[in-house]
Amino acid sequence: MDLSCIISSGDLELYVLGMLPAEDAAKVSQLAAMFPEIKQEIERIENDLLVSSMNTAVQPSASVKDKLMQAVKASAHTMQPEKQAPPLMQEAKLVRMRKPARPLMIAAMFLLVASLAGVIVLFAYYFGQKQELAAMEKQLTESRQNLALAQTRFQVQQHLVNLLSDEQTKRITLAAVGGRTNASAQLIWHPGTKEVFLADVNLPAAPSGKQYQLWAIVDGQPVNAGMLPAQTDTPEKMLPFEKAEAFAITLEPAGGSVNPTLEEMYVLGKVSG
Amino acid sequence: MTQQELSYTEEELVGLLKAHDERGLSYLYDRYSNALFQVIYQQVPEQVSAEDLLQQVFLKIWNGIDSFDASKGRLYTWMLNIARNRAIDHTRSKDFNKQSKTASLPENVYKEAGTEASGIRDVGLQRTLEKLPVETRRLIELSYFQGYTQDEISKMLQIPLGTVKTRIRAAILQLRKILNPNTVSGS
Repeated sequence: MDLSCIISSGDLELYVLGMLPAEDAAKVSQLAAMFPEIKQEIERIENDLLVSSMNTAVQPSASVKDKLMQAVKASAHTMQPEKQAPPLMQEAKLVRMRKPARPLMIAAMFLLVASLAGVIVLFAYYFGQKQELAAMEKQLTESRQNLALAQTRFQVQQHLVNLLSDEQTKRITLAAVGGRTNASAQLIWHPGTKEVFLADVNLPAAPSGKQYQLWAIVDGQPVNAGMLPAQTDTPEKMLPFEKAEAFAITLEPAGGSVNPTLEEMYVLGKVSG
Repeated sequence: MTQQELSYTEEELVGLLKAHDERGLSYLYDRYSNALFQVIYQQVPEQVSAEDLLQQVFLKIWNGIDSFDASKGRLYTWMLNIARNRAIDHTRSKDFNKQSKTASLPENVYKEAGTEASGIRDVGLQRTLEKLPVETRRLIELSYFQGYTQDEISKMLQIPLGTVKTRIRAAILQLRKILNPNTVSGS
């Protein structure tokens, strides 16, 4: 087989760049496996490509790598409970193994004096260990949940930053109505992707049994845009809308209403343009 | 950019990644992030959004490494496709309003495939791409940056498949001289 022909054909470059049709790419893979010369040429091409990519003016900033490695470390803790559990179990076992010497001695003494009392002491000790383990596992689960929650919030924030830099995104201030004071919210809406986000929600705490509801006014009619959660300290994704003339928030019975209670409207904002 | 004294073979690197060893990811990022960023930036010429996408792409690679099949091609090629597709998805969701539903070709096809717009500021590469006929530059844009197959391009532009292949190959051979001036060019 004339390897120099293949090497000078340009096919190897196309292979590395992912521009070869699937069957041709499969053939090149096989050739690379069979002929070290071909494999080396492929590696050389890839290296040249990477070196030339270092010389361009357009490059990612250093912070991207930091954020990436942080995100990966965070999910390593949340995503692998099986890997986390064994060390915990081993620790518990170690503790069990280390300490029994004492209670055992004590138990032995008790046994000498009163066998029943000694058995009771041992039971109490192991039961205490079990409880401690359960408490530690509960803490671990809570930490995992907090981390996952923080990750999600971070992703939402990042996504919002992206949206806000998009010229199509509309930012609407929902202002207080009906003589109310101390009520406002920011609504971010991208008609293209239909995403609707509520941020900077400033509303009085909903009384028990009641909940705030977002409405989109579409063709003059109010349409449910989702219930607000009790905690509104982070941006919240609401229901999607392709078109709307305005958005408003009303206070409804918990779980929401089919139609808005107009006297309970707190904020309203019209879509401009 | 860290000084790489340590280097891994493809097999070693894939091994590290599949074992979820973060050293593998760190090495991967140092070596490949610029090249992947260029592909993304060409589609999404906005620094912050492109960086956001780059991070997502590396997370996708990290989490999806088990679906990489070494017998089908290079790790780099596989990652290139992930980056390309992610950038294109991002553009398509943004262009949703602008495109009419009956359009069958993306707007980019008609965009002048100049290197200024494509964000490639490497002077050598820019000069070479500018030397290529406009038609060929467009083929590179569709094939490399947008990931269309030669067959799809042939159908989209109503050019014979053989012509598409020949032109792309010729472009690659010219680019090769830039990538490595010492390469003996084939005929």
